[in-house]
Amino acid sequence: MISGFLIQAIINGIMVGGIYALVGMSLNMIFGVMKIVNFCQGEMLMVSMYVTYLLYEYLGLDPFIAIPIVAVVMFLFGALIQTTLITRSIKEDGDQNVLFLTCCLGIFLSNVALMLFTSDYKTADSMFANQVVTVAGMNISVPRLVGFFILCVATALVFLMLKYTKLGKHIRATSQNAIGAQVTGIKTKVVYAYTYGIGAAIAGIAGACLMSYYYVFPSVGNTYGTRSFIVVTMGGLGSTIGACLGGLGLGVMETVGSTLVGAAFKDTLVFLVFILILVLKENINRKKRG
Amino acid sequence: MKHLSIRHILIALLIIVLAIVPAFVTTTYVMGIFVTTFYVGCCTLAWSILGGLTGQISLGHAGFMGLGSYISAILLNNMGISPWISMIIAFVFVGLLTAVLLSPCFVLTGPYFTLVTIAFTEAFRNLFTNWEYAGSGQGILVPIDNDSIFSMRWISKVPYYYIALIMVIVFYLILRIIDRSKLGYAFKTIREDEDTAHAVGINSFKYKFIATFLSAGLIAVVGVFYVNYIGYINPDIFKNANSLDYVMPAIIGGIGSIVGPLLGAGILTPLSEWLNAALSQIAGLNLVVYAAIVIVVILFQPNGIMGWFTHSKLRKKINNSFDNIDRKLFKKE
Amino acid sequence: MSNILEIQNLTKNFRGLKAVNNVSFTVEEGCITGMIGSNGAGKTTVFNMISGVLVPSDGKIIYKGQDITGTKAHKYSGMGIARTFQIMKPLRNMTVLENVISGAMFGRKVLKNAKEAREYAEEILQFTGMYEKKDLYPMDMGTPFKKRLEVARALATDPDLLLLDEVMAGLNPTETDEAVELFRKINDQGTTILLIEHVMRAVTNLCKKVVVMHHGEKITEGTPEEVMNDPYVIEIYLGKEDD
Repeated sequence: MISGFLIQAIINGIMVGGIYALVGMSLNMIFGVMKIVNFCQGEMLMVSMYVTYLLYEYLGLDPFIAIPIVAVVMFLFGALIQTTLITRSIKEDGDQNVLFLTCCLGIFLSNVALMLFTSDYKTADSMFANQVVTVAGMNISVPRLVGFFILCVATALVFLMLKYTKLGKHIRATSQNAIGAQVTGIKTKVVYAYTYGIGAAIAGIAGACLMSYYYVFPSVGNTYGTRSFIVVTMGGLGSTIGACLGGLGLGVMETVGSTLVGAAFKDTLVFLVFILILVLKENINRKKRG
Repeated sequence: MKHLSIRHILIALLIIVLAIVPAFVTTTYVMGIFVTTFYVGCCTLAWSILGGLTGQISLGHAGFMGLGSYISAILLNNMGISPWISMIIAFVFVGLLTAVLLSPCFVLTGPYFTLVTIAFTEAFRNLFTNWEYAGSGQGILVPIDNDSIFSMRWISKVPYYYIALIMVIVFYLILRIIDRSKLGYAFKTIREDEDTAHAVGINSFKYKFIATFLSAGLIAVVGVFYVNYIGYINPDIFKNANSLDYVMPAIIGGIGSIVGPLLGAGILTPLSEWLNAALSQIAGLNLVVYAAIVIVVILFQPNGIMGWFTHSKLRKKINNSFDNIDRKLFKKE
Repeated sequence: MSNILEIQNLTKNFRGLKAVNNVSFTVEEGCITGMIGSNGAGKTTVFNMISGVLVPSDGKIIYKGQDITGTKAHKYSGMGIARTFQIMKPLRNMTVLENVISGAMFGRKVLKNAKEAREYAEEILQFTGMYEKKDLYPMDMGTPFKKRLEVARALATDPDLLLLDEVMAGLNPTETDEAVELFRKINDQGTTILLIEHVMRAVTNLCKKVVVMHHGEKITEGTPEEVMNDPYVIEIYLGKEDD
């Protein structure tokens, strides 16, 4: 049954995509509002996974239950990094500095992790670990299903927050025009700190979910960092729903792609599609502009 | 600058000192640091053509270098072609391949271009990890022969030292010539403002293509040297953290200048080697310190050493005193 | 004298918005032509189309009798058209001299090597009165000189037609007079100039013909005096008089 395989692959893809979508959304907050490309997004995820691991190891918290704590910790961590480091390197001419800074920050964070935790794989068992439900002949891993559910909730929350809360309005105003927002009395620096914090917190949620069925090691962020850029590019800059769909799309592309070209070459496929989308998008935009 | 000046004499002295270093340094470890510094300097200079002069920040140069390494290793192992010839093949082939692959992406600006370079090297990594002919994940070992010029193989590090030294000098000269030529002006104008570049008549696509060709081609030449010096190559070279190793010296030294990246390599490579040795008890500590230093520089001196130096009073003083010496020594007007 | 530039029914739509609508005018060879109009009238859009930055939605641009509509931006300097930008775009990390050299190297002037380009650029700097500042970086200079640098770089491409986009905005009266002086000098050497300007003093002083634009359309053209006395122009600039 080829179609059965395909449907299974798509379901798996959506489940995998849940995490991508979350990481993509966290990057999107930062990318969309502050217009800076955060090259240490994957490392943020890595940090949150270690936080989840610590909570599990020392307090015995289940990764899913730890989510609120991880989110708060990551929010503070993100806001701290933004206010101490990133603000200083934003200059009006070009974003090279932020690019380099976040790259170096990534190296810094992953090596701090290497120092503290060594390169061993660390796991945190979830109550759902290794459980599988079977729906209409399709197997779905329970932790991934719960992760997917959390993604939906998180997307909805972020969307509502941006739409209806005061902070959300401030964030949207700042993302459209920082100077304009400043003129109307919005403290853009505070908004930036919040934005980066929220971005990190979403990465925290993603990290905790991922930890329930995956393991953490210092360079785990590499894969997810690059993936998060792909998600954001696919879904459209600054669009929460877009990031969500982009993440799911990437997940499906990977699993379906690996059934088509073989698991070994799925990365190549993903990256080439990514480049293609980037270039096509830019060309279409240019056409529109004239 | 047709006349002899104190600047030329100082540069000549520096080269002479570097040329006789192997006579005094006998430990392999220190020689190794010198060689590494030289080839990292070459990589940074090659990166600078695209990243520094043309302003297209690539984080994929480790990948282009890796392609050069693979070409050399495969050609030597399977066809018996000397690395010296591979250098030319790698320059042309990798340069062209990269320029052609990246050419549709020249419309992308800023971080988007950077993302594309990362994506390409990640794709290369994936391909080479699964390509049996290229040794898959294990990579390729270069055969260990007796000393031979043909296969660039020596037990001692001294010959590598001289090759790397000559390579640095040649690369430096190439960049200097580019910098002052029409090509250099095209690159720099594109870096500063692409609209202005168009307005004065610069075809940005054409010059980005040339910059990519030269930059990737040259770093592929370093790749050929690298694989024969280290003795093996595996897909790990395509990790983009490696690319950062060639970008950081440029950041520290000052992006956009030519002396800057060399200076940066001269400072950072020995520093990183030293940190590596001094902090080896705790894995990761060396890179933590290393990254922290670079972060501090980015925050407080974002234009790097040369960025600070070009606008500083020190430069004027040094220039004046050099001119004075020139006047006294050579009785120049 | 013949027309160096003919604009025929030029139109530009930005996603349904008509930024420029059916604009036609001519630029006489060897003269200074001005283009005035309030902000958002579409002057810069017209400029961007004439210099190839934007492709017109409709209409034709005839330069020296040839249809050049839609030619790529980088080919213009070779045809003898140079421009400045309203938002100044100095090459920040290059000295004033280097800024001008880059104009000289890729323009029409046949220069054998970098040394000749440098000499020619120095000549241009002398001509524009910026020679003393040649080793400075653009950011170390005030607005008047940054604007002048824009002009010098454009001039270095050795153009027949020079498009100046608000190069006198933000200058004080003395600086404006100096700038007017410079443009007259450039014009005397045979370069045709088309300029966008808000400073009426400069426009009346320099231009032989003025084109007035409003809401993307050309409303009138003529000598500065004619235009200034046109009731419609007065209405746009000063508002309607109550009867």
